[in-house]
Amino acid sequence: MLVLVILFTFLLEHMVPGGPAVVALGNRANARTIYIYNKTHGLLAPILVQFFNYLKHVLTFHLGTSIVYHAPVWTLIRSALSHTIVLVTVALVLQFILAIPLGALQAQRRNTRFDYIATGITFVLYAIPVFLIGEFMVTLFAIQLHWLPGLVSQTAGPWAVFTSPLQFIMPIFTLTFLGIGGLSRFQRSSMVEVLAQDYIRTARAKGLSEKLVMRRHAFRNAVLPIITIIGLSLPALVGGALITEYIFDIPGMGSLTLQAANTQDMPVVVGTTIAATAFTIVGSILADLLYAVADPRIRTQSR
Amino acid sequence: MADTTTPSVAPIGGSDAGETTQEGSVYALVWRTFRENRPAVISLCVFVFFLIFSYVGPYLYVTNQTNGFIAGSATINGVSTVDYPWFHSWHMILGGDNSGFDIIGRLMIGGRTALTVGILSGLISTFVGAAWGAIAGYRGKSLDSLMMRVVDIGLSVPGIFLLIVIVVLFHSSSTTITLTLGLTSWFGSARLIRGETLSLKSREFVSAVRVLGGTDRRIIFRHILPNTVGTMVVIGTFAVADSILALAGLGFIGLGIPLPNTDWGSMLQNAVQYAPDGYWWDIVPAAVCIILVVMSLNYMGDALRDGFEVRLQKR
Repeated sequence: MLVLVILFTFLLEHMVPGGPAVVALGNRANARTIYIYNKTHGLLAPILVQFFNYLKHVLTFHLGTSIVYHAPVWTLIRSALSHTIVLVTVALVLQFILAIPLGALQAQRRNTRFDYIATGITFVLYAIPVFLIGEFMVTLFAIQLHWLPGLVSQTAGPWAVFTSPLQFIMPIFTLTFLGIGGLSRFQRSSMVEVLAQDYIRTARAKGLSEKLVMRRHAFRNAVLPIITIIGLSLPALVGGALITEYIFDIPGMGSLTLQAANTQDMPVVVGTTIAATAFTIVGSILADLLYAVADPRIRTQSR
Repeated sequence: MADTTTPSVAPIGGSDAGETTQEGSVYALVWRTFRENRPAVISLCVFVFFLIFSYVGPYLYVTNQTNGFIAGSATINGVSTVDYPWFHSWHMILGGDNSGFDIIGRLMIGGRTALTVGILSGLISTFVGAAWGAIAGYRGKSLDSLMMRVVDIGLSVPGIFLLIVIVVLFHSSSTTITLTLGLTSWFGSARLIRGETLSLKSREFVSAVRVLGGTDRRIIFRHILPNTVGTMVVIGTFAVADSILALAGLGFIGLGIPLPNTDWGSMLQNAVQYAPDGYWWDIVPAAVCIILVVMSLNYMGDALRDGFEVRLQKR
């Protein structure tokens, strides 16, 4: 799958007027330097040969050199990637911690006032773009109330989320709110479906307490489909992380990409896209494995 | 709502054609369920309001939107229009932005770009996705698995990164942004339409066309796709909402429609820069517009889905 993504960026680079040389050297490169670059980088070879070279380079983390930083793109990405991974993972976990009980509770008290209010809130959350949530929090808590710092310290390492959590409260919650709307709605409908099943009626009929029915029988079955959503929600989350990092100045992949975009640093932009995609693909595969762990039916099948 | 131009939807299955004529066309049925859904009707009104506001508004409420500083050098009641709050005078009801542009006028031209780009790219994404899904679903076998693998990849690439790559590689304009948004967001609709095609292709009317010697192309584009119109309308509504959000995001990170044109996201980005200095009110108008339009589209999409599902139940 990743190979096809790499093929896509390869084709994109060749579609740019001037080809990959212009991508690597920048828009102001003249014909002579372009020719020299083409010659030294094997870009006069047949296109298929070029693609395999490109593939080999990307897969061995040779993503080119940044025009602006004069450093290998992979070095830049490596230091940025850890920030994004930590941010996305923490937000993902929080999303599930908040959205699943909310959706389950809504289903349990279906068509009560609580359900309607929660539905209204999640619907608004679903429509509000992530950057508005972030900006709103910054304006309220950092600028007006001075409760929280508005930006994240540049010297903080990726683990600063845990060592100095105060400055990460707003970015994490910005990213968390992004998915809560969709997730809790999904959990609600999944739980509603489960509650209509025969085995729930059986569980009730044999006199189990309502709490036990909900926890043992309904909740466990309703949570399973949500796990498949992890993989599907990852791209949106990584995209949201880009904007969150921009708002709070977190030195992750998003900030790197945007800085590069504003300085026309094309090798970095292409490199971060490949890395972000690789990250989401790996995440989706992990989610699939998690599903196998969580669902006893799949576990016993594989034995 | 009598529909004579696309009668291909009603006679699905043939036998219940009588019922449909009795009850009016399918669209009348959808419209009836839509009308009963009060949030959806309000949403429709909101959306139509924004359409009129953005496309007709600039002709009724004429403002200078090309030369900000000339407008900005003016003062009204002794306050420069550059840092002009809401409701300060009837000249600029929502005040002016940092360049002295009247915010209402700015919202109008911003809305024009946002809605044009949103609707066009939503349409592109729906139609490309539908064609892709229908071809994959109908042809099946190895072509299907190849085409759906492409969809899997498309769904796993964070769209905004692709957008940035393309905006950086090819310079940013409403055309590139529309095309890119449309061509990077059709994967979801391809998957849905493929699913529907799989169930449609085993129906009698498809076999009938095949027996009559209809080509694959004819079957897919004349018979299968028209039967997925309900799904396509629903997908399209959500696709427009998503495109408007994506464009706003792009504008917010500073890669939106270049000046002197603008869009709601770019307006936000512009306003956000001055928020720490106390000009927070500049953020609100564009933010409210984005949220209202996106929410109204989402509600309408939900209502349309309900409507078309009712149609399926009646069948």
